[in-house]
Amino acid sequence: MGLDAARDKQRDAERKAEITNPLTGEPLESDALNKTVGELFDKGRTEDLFVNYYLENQNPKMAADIMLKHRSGKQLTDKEDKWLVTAGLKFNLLRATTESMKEALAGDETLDMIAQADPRIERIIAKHGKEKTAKLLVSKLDEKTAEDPKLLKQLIDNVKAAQEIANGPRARSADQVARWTLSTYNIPEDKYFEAAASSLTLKTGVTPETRKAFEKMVQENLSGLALVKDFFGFGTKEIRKRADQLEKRLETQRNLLHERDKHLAKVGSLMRGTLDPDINLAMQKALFEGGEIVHEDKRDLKTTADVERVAKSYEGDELKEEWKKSMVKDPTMQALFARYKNKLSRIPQADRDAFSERFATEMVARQKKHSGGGILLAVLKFLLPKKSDIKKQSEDIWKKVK
Amino acid sequence: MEESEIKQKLRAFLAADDQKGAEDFLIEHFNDLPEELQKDVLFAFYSETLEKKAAEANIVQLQEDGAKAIEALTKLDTDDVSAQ
Repeated sequence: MGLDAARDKQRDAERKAEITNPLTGEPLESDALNKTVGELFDKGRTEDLFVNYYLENQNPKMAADIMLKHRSGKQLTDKEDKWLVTAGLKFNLLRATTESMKEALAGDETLDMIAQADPRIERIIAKHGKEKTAKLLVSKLDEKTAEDPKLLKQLIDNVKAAQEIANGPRARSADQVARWTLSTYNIPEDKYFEAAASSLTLKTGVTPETRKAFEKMVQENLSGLALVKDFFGFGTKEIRKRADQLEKRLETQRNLLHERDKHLAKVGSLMRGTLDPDINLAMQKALFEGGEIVHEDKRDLKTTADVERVAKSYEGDELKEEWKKSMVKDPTMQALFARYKNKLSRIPQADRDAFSERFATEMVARQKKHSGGGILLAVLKFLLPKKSDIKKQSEDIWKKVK
Repeated sequence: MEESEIKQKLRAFLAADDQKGAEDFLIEHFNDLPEELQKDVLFAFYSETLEKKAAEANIVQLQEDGAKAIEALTKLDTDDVSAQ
């Protein structure tokens, strides 16, 4: 089935689909929703986002095969056709949702808030202009959300949370409330804070023991967080109900008070933790990463040296080595080796080109797996060869094989 | 500024292990950068700042919930327990 037939099938499916904004639940009205698969291949920005950012991240191999057939006018298999139609529908929904969120993500108010919090962005806006900066950001958001659809909700959640405390009063008053609560209810100091005071030398001279002790403290604070949520997440009435249940389970009033004091001490510890800059920061990190203290940073770009090392792995002899490895693993090439008795130079040009396309796709997919904080990833991406460069290098290697 | 020159400069910062220098260079020459790099640099700062702000908001929420929890737990003593 070709792209035209796929278009009809997609239209049918769209009529049946109930399309709402996944964040607000309101119906989505956008031209993006009505695009057929054929219309997505518009040789412009939509095709770029659909093919190079969306499809390639859903299934790089399938995307490469489909694009090869599309360019050469070949029919897609039923499986490819079905996959493409489904991907088209999901992509349309994602585009419509992203469109509806652009104001929240990169509108004037958000950009002002970010610039106020980050002098680097403030400097960029001063140099580049606010309108052009917003346009760049929107364009990048289109690409990032097409690459990783889950990112959209995460960004929206972060914008909402950031806006809530952007102007400071809520954050300042929460600090004051925490201090006032601790002093008013006379939450006792405990050993936890003595340990905290002695081990808070994180900025300099951190020993493994100190860090371990510190992480334990943050973890204890997080168990306090679970308690707060468990106890207070349902409101005051629920707390009393739970206290009643607790009382039924405990035989004496003394036990109940003991339980309550334990809870008070835990919540008190948690509150004190938020007032200490180092613990507060570690808690922010832990909360943000799902409530776990992450001992190991899984990003492969931690330093400038990492960026340099990874960039070199896509150049010269190192890339040639990858080319050889990829060829050995490639089932199509294995079949061709057998047919041409390992004489690479006899392999037809069309098959060479097809392998170069697969190899470049594989390398680009690998490039996308690198991750790092700050500008490290941006710098690496700039230094890495583009897909077209890798294809060209692959073709150059082919010319030299015997 | 040519793309090759920007790459050369960035490589020099990497060789000198100077991330801050690279960052300053990218901001200072932002208008000279290729659009792809402009977008990547901008998004790196944007997402980093958003994450930081959102994490701060988590703590604020925690403080507010904690204060209410302490108040409610303490009330159990005066309102409920001592009345028994």
